[in-house]
Amino acid sequence: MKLFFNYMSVQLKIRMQYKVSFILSLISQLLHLIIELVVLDTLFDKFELFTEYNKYELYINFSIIYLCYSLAQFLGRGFDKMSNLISNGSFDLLLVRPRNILLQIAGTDINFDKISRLVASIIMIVYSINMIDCKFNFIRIFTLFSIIIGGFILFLSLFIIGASMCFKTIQGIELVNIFTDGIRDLSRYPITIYNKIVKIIFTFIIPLTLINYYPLEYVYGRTNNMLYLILPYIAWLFIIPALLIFKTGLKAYKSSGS
Amino acid sequence: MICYLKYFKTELINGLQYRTAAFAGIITQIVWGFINTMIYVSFYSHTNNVDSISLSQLVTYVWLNQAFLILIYMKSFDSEIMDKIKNGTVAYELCRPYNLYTWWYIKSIAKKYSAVILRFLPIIILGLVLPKPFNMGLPNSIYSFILFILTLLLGSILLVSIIMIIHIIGFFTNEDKGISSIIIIISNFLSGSTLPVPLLPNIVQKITEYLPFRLISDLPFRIYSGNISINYALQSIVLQIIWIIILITFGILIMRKVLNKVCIQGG
Repeated sequence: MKLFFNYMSVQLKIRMQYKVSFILSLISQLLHLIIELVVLDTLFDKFELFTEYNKYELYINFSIIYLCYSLAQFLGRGFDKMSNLISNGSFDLLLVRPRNILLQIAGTDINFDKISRLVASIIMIVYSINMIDCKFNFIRIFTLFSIIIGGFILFLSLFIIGASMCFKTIQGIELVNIFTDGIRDLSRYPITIYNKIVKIIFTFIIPLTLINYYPLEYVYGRTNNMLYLILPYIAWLFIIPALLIFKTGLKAYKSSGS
Repeated sequence: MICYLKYFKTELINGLQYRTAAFAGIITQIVWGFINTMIYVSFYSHTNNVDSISLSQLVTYVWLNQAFLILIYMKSFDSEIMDKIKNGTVAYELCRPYNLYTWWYIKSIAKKYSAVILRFLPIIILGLVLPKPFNMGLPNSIYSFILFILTLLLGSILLVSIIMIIHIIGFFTNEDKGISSIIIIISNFLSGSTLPVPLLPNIVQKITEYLPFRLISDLPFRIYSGNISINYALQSIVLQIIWIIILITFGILIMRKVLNKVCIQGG
């Protein structure tokens, strides 16, 4: 853990060398979030769906996914750039070091540009929670936290799976990004507007509804089914297949460097 | 002039070599097309009181957007030129006896055309043969098809004129993140790549009227599906040409300014 913080401070120092560029990137990241929110808002407004859905609950759903995604991008960007590591041979360098390989990959690139998104989406969540009328007790807040961690793990696992693909293909494949970005885009809207097939995929194959839909129903006080509270922890388990895929990929890895 | 044409041809042929990348691109675009159509179909199944654009027009819009993405999307600007600026090889380019603005312009547009030639057909065909709510419609009439092609070509020229300005700003500030990424996000939003213009909030729609961005892709796609009348389309073509002239002149002017002051990276 200490090693990871070391990585972080070094990366931050590098980024701070170009202050203006860094600040402008922060702004552009923020702009991205604002535009996404505007898109969500106008779509629901145009299609007159605000009668069915509470505006602020939508904001919370959206901001949670956004927060999880940005968190995963913030800390897991190294996996995203795995293809570079492998194709220029510097992955071998990481392999010979006596430290956890996953930690090292993550440490190669920590994306501080995402910080503005993190902060903004947290603000959005807190603000929207204040706007809906439901009493927040300890269990609900605790559930909210486990949802966020669950979402983070989910996206991080997808990044790790994407990185494992690179062992075979060496080149980065855009295809992996479709999964992560596509899931983010689809989950921007409440799962209830989709048809059955999408719902089933997002429950049993990629456990998105476990973090986004069911436990939030409890948080909003629409159901008292305590079973829903356990669901986010099932999503946590998604890391296990991801790590298994990574391990098998690593075993098959052949160096491309000289 | 001949030298520029020849350069255009070589760059075009050069771009046509990247077939594997194109294949990956096609699959990516198809999946995105599915995701987007799925979202819109779900929305329309809840209500049908959106009168600015119908579902079939919108789905057609999505597939056209995916098929011609490289031609109309701001993000795919030329990283090769940015690299040249960053590592200083741009100095060699400056030594050569040609106009740098034209040279870069040709390079950017040839790259876009070659990439699109490799990609658009499979996506369009798939879009046409899909079952009902997910399929792409045929053009509204033969006139709208002709106008679609014309406006799309003009739109790509317009887009490259804007991208050139971003390149020149990059030349001046020596970095490709920062300002340019802000311009990219805003222009993609205003051009209808994030959400088609008819679905944008009314105030934003008003703003787009006065800006060139919607003329890049939103105009041709809506002409294709008959969402925009032929008369209005003809007016918009004039507008496109005016914007192209303004932006290219502006680009050339600031290019001249920048070249007077430029400080090349590297020894």
